[in-house]
Amino acid sequence: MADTELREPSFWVLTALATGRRHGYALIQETHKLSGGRVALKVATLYAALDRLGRQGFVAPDGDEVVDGRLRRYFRLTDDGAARLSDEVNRMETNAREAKARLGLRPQSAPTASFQAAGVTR
Amino acid sequence: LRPEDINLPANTVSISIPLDAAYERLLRWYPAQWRRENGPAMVGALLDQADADNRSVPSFSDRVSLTVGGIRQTLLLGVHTSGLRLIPLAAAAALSVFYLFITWSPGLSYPGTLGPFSNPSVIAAVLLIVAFPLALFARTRAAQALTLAAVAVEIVVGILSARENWFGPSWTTVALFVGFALLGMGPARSRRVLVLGLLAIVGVVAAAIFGPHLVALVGELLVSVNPDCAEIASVAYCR
Repeated sequence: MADTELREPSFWVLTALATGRRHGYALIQETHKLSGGRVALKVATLYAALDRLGRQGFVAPDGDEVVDGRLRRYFRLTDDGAARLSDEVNRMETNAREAKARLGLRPQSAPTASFQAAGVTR
Repeated sequence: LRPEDINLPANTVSISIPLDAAYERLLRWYPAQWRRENGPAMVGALLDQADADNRSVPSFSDRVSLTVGGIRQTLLLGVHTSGLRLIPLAAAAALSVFYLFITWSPGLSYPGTLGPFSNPSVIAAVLLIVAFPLALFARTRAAQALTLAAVAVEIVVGILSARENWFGPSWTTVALFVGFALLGMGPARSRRVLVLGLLAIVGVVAAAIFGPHLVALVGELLVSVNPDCAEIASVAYCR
């Protein structure tokens, strides 16, 4: 399992690429949708993330296409990227399971009654 | 700019910058290598986003993110390609700042002064101070040119100071400036070369500072243990 957690933009970029190749603007749209609107990547931020993920071997360029005179560069998830995403999902699941279990054990407290029993007044 | 964005007199001709050109202009913050590799794809994505937002000019957040992103990539590129070179150049720049302070002598009237400074090697100091941020921002050629000029100035001023009896840099100071500058000027060097170079600089400076004391100490020891030796002007002479 990886030592450090993925940052949220990187997590959503890898998740968006899990179902197939995407170009830059499609990734921006999809990460926004997948994250429920929390992640609104700028182009500069997206390409910085893609550059970092590329150097780590998690994504790779997958061809350029020119549409209406505009260059669209496609990216795909590599096998290492899929493994990294899988590790991250497992880590998040473990964390969520632990947190849920602890929340289930949380004592039902009645703060006012406790203060009165201890003789504390406000 | 769109004419409706600003209040222009009726007879003014406005020049509208195409959106792709505006984005390409903003991408100038990025290093050239990054622009070559990613520039057209980034402009394509920026134009797609502008279309979706129904914009004909870059948004404020685009401007900020491209500026910050470009500076960040430039810094990263500088660190990646010349991290080792930055160490001696940083030392040279720090030494130069210190040198500007110690040579600041307004009112001094003596041969070799340059304005309020006691000698012209402040020119080399200024060149090195400018070269360091250039190297940091991956402007390698400009940094190398300034560093080379600083080395030449420092050597010339060192020679002139010795010949003309100026309040100029000592040979130790010249060795420090030139050593750090030469180490920082070349292409990214191996760690071994850098460490050996820094050790050589430290050795030269230590020899210049402590050498005469060591010679005198050895002379005293020889004289004390050998009656056939005599110390003249801190140097031991033995029969």
